[in-house]
Amino acid sequence: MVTQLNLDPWTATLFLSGVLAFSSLVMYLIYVSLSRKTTHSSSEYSEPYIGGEPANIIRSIDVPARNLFWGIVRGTGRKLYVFLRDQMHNGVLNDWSVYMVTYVGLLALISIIIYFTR
Amino acid sequence: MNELTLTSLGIFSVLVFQNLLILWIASMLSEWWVRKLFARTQRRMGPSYVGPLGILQPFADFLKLLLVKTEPSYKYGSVTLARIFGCIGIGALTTSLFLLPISPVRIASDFDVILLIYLLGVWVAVSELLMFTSLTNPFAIKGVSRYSSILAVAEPAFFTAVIVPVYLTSFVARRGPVFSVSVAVETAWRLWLNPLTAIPMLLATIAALISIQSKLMLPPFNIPEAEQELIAGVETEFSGPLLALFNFLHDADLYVLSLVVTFMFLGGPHPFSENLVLGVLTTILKYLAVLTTITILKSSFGRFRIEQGVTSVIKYALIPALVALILSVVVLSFI
Repeated sequence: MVTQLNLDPWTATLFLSGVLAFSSLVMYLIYVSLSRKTTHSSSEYSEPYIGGEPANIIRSIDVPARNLFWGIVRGTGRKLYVFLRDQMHNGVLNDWSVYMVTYVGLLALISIIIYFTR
Repeated sequence: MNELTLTSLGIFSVLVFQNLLILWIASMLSEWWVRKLFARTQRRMGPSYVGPLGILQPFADFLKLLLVKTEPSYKYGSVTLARIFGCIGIGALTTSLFLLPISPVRIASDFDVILLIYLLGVWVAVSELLMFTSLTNPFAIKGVSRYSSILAVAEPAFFTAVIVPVYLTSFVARRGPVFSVSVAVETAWRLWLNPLTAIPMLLATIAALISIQSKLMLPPFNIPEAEQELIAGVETEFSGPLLALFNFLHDADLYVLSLVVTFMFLGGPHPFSENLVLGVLTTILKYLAVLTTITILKSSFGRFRIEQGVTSVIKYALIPALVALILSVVVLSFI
């Protein structure tokens, strides 16, 4: 038995958001009920793994946020990267998602314009 | 159909068919196919001991990690956050199956392709990135920086490639819902019959396959993991149940993205859409063909450096996808 629901975009978004929340919750409950928590009290199991060395051999266990995207820096245009970083991006993941959503929005806008002007 | 029946069917869909349970089984089987084929290309046996031809090995690996090993406890990170984001990523993949024609309850609406992109691009990618960063480690953060570099070009390439069949079928099918995944799935095969639309479809298919390769960190785009150089890169701190959760998320991502290519680019059950058995078999064969292509790509290249990876995705995925989209607009003015 297969049912196709033709919904309006708003209802479809709400329905799928509900499904997303529900399925994530179910997955979380399954995971929590099946997985076993650690019983080790030793600090060895709570330290980050740095090739077997203690955590204090490095200045900081974190990497500065500005170092995200260094791959693009080295390979494909330092000037463009510095311009983008300084003007519109600070290495925060939220900004990355805003960039992605903006790109999708731009494509959606182009689609809508093409649809209504065909 | 009344609301109660529909709600029950929806909950059944989420929990059993075609979602969480089937997602898990299909993901594990996909992992087995990739591992076995990858091993054969290297003249190794691959999974062999658990089940016939080792088909149950991924299930055994997953259950061992989840049920036998213990969850880690870290001083500098939050295991709970990693767990939550892993589950949200799997939830997003589960939800996206409602838009494909393999769920008992299918959702279709105008512009629902944006919802597919939203679920697969934004939720899954952000969940993975946040899952990695929840367990702080210099190697993991280095891996995340590389992964986000690749995602910055791979995600737009994948979105653009997916829009091509949806855009073309919206005009070729001449029926609603417009810009919908469901119409694209039913009509995509017709695009291959016309040379004018086959060219953008070919470009978009290549772009989608390469962007999937890079989104999944499969060789040659496995620089975020970079074994031996970065220990295990983004996965360095994952162990026990958390590693099982990440492996499931990764395999489920492979399964869903390959299904998207199977249905939206290759036409799913066509030319046996009217025959259930032959239609299912055709879909499975096309799905295996997609997995095989991904595995051959995986076994044919060594690891790219990060700038090589980013440049390759731009050259062979983002630019072809944009060209395919522009060609689609041009072609439709002639049809």
